[in-house]
Amino acid sequence: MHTVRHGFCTLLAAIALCAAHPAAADEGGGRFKIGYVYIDQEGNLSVNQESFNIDDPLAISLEDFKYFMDNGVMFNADLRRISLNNRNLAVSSSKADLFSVSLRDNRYRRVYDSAETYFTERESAGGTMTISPSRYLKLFGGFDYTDKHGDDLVVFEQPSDAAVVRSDYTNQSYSIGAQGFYKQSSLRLEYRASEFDDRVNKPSDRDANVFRASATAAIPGFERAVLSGGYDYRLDKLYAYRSELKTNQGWAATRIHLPLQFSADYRFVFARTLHEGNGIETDNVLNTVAVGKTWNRRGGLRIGYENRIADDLADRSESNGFLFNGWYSHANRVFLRALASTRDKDIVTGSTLIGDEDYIRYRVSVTADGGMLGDVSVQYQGRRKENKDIGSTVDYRSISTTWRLDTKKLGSLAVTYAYYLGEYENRSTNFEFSDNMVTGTITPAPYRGVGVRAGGTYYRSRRDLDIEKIALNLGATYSFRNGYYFDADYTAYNYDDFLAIDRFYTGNILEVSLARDFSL
Amino acid sequence: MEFSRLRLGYCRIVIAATFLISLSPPRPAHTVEPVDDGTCLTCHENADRSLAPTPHRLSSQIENPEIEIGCTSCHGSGDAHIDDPSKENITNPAVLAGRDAIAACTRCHAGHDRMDDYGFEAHSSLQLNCADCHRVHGGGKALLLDQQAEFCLRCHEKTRMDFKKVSNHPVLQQNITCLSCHRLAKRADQNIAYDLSGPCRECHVDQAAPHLYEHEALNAYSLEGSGCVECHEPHGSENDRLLKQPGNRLCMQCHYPAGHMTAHGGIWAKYACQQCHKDTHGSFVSSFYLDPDLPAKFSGDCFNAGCHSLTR
Repeated sequence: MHTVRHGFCTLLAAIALCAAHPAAADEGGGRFKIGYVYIDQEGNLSVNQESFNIDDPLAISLEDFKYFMDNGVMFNADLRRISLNNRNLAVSSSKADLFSVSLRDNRYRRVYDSAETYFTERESAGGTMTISPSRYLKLFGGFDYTDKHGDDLVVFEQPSDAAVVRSDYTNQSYSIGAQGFYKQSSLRLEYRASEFDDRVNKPSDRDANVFRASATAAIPGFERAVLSGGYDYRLDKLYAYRSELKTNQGWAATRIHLPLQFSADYRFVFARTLHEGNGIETDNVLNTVAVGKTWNRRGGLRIGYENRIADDLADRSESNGFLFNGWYSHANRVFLRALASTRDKDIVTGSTLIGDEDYIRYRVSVTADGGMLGDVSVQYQGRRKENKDIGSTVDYRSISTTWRLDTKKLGSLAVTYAYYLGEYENRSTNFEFSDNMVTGTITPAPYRGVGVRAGGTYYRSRRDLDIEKIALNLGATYSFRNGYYFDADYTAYNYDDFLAIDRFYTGNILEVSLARDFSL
Repeated sequence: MEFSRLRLGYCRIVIAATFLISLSPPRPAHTVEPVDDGTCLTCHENADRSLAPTPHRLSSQIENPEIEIGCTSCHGSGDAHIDDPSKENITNPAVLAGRDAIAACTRCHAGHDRMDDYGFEAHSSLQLNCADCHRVHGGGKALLLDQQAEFCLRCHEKTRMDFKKVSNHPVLQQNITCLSCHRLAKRADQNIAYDLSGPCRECHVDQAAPHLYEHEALNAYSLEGSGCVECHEPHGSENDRLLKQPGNRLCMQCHYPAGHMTAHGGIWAKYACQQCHKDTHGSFVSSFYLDPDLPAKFSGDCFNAGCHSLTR
């Protein structure tokens, strides 16, 4: 892994040096920041995710660094919260139509017990690179690296027993490919390989290989219509148990722009997945057709139908669904949008555990621009799923509203309220929750180099749960004349689960930092 | 018989579409008066500087340009603006709405208008402005407004709230971004076998297939489930580990454990499902996802007596 990272860094530097010319007008800049965190917390450290990663008091950052070279090469760097255990890094370099390279690295952890004895750490890193030797061809490649290690504490609902599960694995993946362009057409080929190395449970080591090919082309003589299609192959191998999951998939699609701002879409997907471990081969066939109509700046409507068949030789299910999506804009001041989709799945042959299923998902939202009074938006959404054969229903709804006021003279204000309602029923039991959440931030315009901000969140979950969570944030920034900034940020957290006596948390976190804007 | 009827239907659709296409005139070519870039830069000093390192750099400032890009490519003819410099007589793609909002960009980025955002992807069908997510002048990687994709949450305010619930994916903590899981645009090449669990398996590969015994709810291709989201709320949840319901209630949504309630006087009914069915995501030894150490934990009574086994 280190070799790969070192290789990419060397490559990045080499490309930049090769592309560089002596330049008098290179320019750039960014912000350097050094910060210190004071934390005072008590209670169960596993319940407040926002404070999981604050375990190093001292951190440095280089934020929004950009450097433009006269030859068109650009460097970007965003290196945040670099400390002993944490970091969030992203660097990239690019030159238009020639190359781009980007790298990232991020670490975070998850705490599982009250005393912070059990926790897991995850590192996620990766990079991508593209080279365009000509306007007709782009070569690309990349890698991703995930590492997770530590002790995960599984707490059972009843009796109050716990089990420690140790994790220690890495997953690495690499990809390489090429894309060719000609007029309105393109052809893309990609190969991706990944390896999973489990150091705790070696027999679960596995790897995966993916090959993807896709092409898009305009129909000769009919430039309003475009055809697209492709083939995917994926093979996951679990060596120790000789188990394989193999998928072959082909797809085709077309979109046609018709007169009077009508459009039509059609898509077909066929996938065959073979699980060699259990010998089950499943075919999936998907057909979707839709038509749309747009009225310039006023609105749009799109309706469609989808049919899906899943067949594993023993059982076969078929689902039919309708799709609806519409929007309306009134004088660019009021914006209404709505979408809904349904799926009615029937078991045609054989029988499955959950049987037939009816599903509907919907969302309606309105946004109004009130000018001096700001923007107001309201959104209502929900989903309902019913499996009659097993007496199971899921009903989930939420409504949220936001008021946002943003003025250069006075500053900005945003307040959001959301209400969630979830109702789950089945033959054995049921579960309900109703959540109320309100959050707000206010940032007055800076005055004589002093900027202040305040924000807070209140969350309450009731019915079968009884949880209260509060966060309060206050911050101030003072800008010195020579480009220095002093920033202080205070956040208080309080968490209470009134049904579990050991799940409470109180934390006071103060972060002070000194920053300097610089230019090169 | 059914196939013949289906084929006939398809033929009719193709014929009708071909007829409509042939009736329609081709899209008019984009015509703009070629106002010189230098004229624009006289007033808009350094506007070219922010374009220089991007694919939108001005053709007039490089040797042998392969694609002609000038100020007027996006801002339209500037004749009136030169005579009377005001915001009203120049096109600013960032403030356009409706069809015009994306038309300025899709003249070149045809893919985004045609295939890349195929289907019912909200961003294309609602015809939002490209500038809601991208900044042409001075944008970073992929010309995004910010690399943490904060711009997503500006519209998806309710989702921002989800990330503040009891358990959540660390988006607000800036460890991952919306783009870690969501593609920029929904594409036509939906992978049925992996789509609904594909983004999850990139990080949580230890819980991904193949197992010898799969929990079908996890696999999008199966007849029983639709992937990880069958049990988990991906943004945030009231319950631990992003679960939709706490404890046994989640399992009982699909499984009615009648045997557990009655066998041996119902003594197992009071236990947590996961206490025995530990390998919920899939198992290498048990078709019931049982803890491989279960026979040892029960001193062999249940398993050695011949009544129960890990696979029966």
